[in-house]
Amino acid sequence: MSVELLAPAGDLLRLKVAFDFGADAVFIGGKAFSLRARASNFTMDDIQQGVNIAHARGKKLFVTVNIVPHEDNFEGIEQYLTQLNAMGVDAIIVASIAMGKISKRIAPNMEVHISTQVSAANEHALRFYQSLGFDRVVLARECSLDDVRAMVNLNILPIEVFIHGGMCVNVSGRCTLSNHMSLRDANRGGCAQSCRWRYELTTLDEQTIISNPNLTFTMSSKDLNATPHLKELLEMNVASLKIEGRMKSEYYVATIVNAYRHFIDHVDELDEDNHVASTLVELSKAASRATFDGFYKTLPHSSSILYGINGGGINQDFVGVVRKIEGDRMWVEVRNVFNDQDVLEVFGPNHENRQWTVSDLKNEDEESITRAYQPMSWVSMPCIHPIEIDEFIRKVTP
Amino acid sequence: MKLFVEVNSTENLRLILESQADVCVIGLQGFCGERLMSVSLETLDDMIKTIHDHDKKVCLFFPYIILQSRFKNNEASLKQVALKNLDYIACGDVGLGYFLKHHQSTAQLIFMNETMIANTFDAQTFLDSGFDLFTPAMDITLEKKRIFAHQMPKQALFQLCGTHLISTSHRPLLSSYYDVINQDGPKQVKLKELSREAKYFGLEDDQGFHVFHDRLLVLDDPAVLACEHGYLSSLFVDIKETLMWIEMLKNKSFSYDGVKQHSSLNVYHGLDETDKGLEAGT
Repeated sequence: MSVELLAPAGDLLRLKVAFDFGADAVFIGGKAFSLRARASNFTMDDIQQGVNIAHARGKKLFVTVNIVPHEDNFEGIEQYLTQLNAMGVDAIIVASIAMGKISKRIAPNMEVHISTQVSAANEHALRFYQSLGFDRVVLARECSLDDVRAMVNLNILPIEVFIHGGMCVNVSGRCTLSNHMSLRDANRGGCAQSCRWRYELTTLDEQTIISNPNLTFTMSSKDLNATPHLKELLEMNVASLKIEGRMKSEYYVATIVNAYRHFIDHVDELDEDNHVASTLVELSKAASRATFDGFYKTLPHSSSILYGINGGGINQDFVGVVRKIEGDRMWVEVRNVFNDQDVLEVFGPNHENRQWTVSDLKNEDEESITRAYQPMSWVSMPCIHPIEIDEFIRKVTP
Repeated sequence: MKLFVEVNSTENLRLILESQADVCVIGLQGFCGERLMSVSLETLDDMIKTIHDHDKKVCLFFPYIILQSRFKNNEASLKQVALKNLDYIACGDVGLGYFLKHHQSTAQLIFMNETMIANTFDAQTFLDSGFDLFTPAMDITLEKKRIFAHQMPKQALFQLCGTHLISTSHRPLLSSYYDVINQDGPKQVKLKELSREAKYFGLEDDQGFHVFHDRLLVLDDPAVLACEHGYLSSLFVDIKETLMWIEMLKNKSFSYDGVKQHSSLNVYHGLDETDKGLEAGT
């Protein structure tokens, strides 16, 4: 059985990019019933287009229906699930077993995947969800490699694990810090990430401050990067390797999916250490936050927490997308500033990365320029070879 | 109303046994951290007998998720737990409940998870799947809790009073921090976000790091108080206060103002509506 590489997408553009760069399946959120309320979720028309794009390529589309619903949130659910099924959505991802059961009743052929929000962590939880007729479980991110292997070997349900992206510091679904501190419901798409804020610690009697004012206490987790354990995960036959990040950019999606696709496709051909090292380098080109390898090998300690760092930075290495090739020149849609004589790197799903030094830069009026800075404008420069439309270009940091 | 009361120490147990509490909630060593008084498997029978001798029932509470490797390593013990003369077993992990049900446990099974049952449809699905009781989510509004009280008065186990868990991490976050700042520190603390006033309780134990609300939740709604089961959490609270809540509940004088009057902690009715996440806010 070949493993599924499952990527996130916040809109149709990112969905296409994810498929272009090698995702086998993409998960998205609709406008309703989905966490990540800010992830520019899909309209029903968008979902239909997404399904069409996926199926035309022989790939799959999953829709998150993963809020922990309150009583009134069930309004319209049957109609919504019926529509998703009619569109050809391959699976929904749920945190509510009631919603999962409703889906199985009205759309038995649409798969129901149990979200990591319920933190399934042992074989008996898998059996419970199997008994309800569900099709797959996304394991709790607290599971170790040994935990995953043991559960896969029991062959109770197909198992999906996270390999990359943001990590909840708390057990998923069992954190309401955001609810209590900002009235934003973490389990219904409004998480304010209160764990990432800074806290003063005192003794219980509040008489003594324990925390260091220069390095305050925080629960801000580094992101997951499971590359060092990817070969083991592949060998144990998990059903799906999941990348987190429906709110991430097209550049992030392209870079991360591309790197993991390359690793998976060449896992038997290359020396593992070099393969891991080169994949880590590729992934770092879209890094927005420091990473660690999760719970796969050991219980994470201080090296898994972002002390003294307030969230993640914005990566500006992504400079453009190849949009057109005319003779010996290529047109690039600009995303971030770059200059004449900058060293750039182009990457895509079908070729190794290629680097060159920018020269002979022209704007849309064919005027020579030394700086491309207007986002979404097009600039042209001499082609490098090979090159394909929709490949991504980034700046090489000296 | 059957009153479940958390037991946090041997001394508290003695006082609770003398009270009008109906069910003593205890933990099993290795599975409840510092959240409850815990007993070993070897002494569990004696503890059950002691509590039964006082004409009270026993609830063994497993608050946290159990990872596959730990479950496997302790499977024999958990099979024995299933066969003990327990009256209730409360599970924070759905897999444990499923396991116990399939290993001839005669105890009533409670799905006790602070967040996952926020509607009666999910509650009913858990009941249909073998659980006997459940705790409605702590973070839903009083109005929504009333729906459970009206529709499922026999199966809903409400926390009526006490501090309650608002997050749990599997990571030892306090120890990790102490390592980074290179100093030792206590395993029970208060946390204050730098721009806010609330000072939450933090607790690290062998199960991870857990944050509890700084205020006492007081649920004195008549519909809730008319239910068959109620739960009192006594962590971070003076046992005298807990005993007072039991007395007030049993003589039908339990009230927000009554709790507030005698408490060293601030009190609240629960959260207001938290729908902001659904509006694709900032």
